[in-house]
Amino acid sequence: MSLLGNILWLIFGGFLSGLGYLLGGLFLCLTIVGIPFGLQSMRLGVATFAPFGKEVVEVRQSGSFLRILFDVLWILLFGWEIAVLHLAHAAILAITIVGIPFAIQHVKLIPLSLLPFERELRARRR
Amino acid sequence: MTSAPAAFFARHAALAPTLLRAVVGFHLVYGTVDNVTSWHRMVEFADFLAAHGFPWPLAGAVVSAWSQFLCGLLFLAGLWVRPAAAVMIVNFLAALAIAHRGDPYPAMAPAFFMLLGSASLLFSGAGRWSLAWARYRRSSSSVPR
Repeated sequence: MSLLGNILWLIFGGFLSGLGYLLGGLFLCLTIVGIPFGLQSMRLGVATFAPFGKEVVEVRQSGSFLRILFDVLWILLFGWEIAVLHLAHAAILAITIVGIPFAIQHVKLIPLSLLPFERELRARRR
Repeated sequence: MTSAPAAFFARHAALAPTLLRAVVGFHLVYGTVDNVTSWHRMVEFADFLAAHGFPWPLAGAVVSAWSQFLCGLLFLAGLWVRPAAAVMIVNFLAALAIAHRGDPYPAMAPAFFMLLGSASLLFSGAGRWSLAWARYRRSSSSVPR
């Protein structure tokens, strides 16, 4: 079921979303000082390609000063814009009723887009 | 005559509300993002409110978590900062009066700082480096809120 969901997700916008994250990450890496943020953006891009069957969890080393500092910078510069986009997409998809499973995936990506140094997407345990 | 450091900091005084928005907005979003994206975590928050004698705990949890999350995003974006600050002042006054009543200072400190941070932003507004300032610069028709 997750595989089918991920295929439909990729066709209906997931591929473009993931590609946007990857290209943004690549651009940030080119600035050198933006490498930590670029790497997180690329990680988000990979996660965005296939969110079905995965859950958001806290990273093992969460709460360290450097991670919090990077998260504050990220959320101020890029995070809130990405989160608002995910929230808007989720609202639009939820209205269509058939898009509710995809809306749930967008909501799932919100914590990841706001706190990429503190959260990660992992395969759901059965 | 002002000294060079004092002149430097006075020249960049507009950074103050930006830094305050960053830390208050981050704290609000950090504390509520799991509640608004997971119903299980929202019910946990409602249970916390119920344990502290909050009336209508589930409705209170939904309203409080969503208002903190959205106001946090508005603080970070620097848009409608004063209305968002007013909402947060009401939210944290209620939190201190109901959920944190009788708590020792260390336990109520985060809510206390959010209350005072929001009050500061109510007076200062978004400042420069905000969406409100960008809109103001573009239109020059109204003072940014």
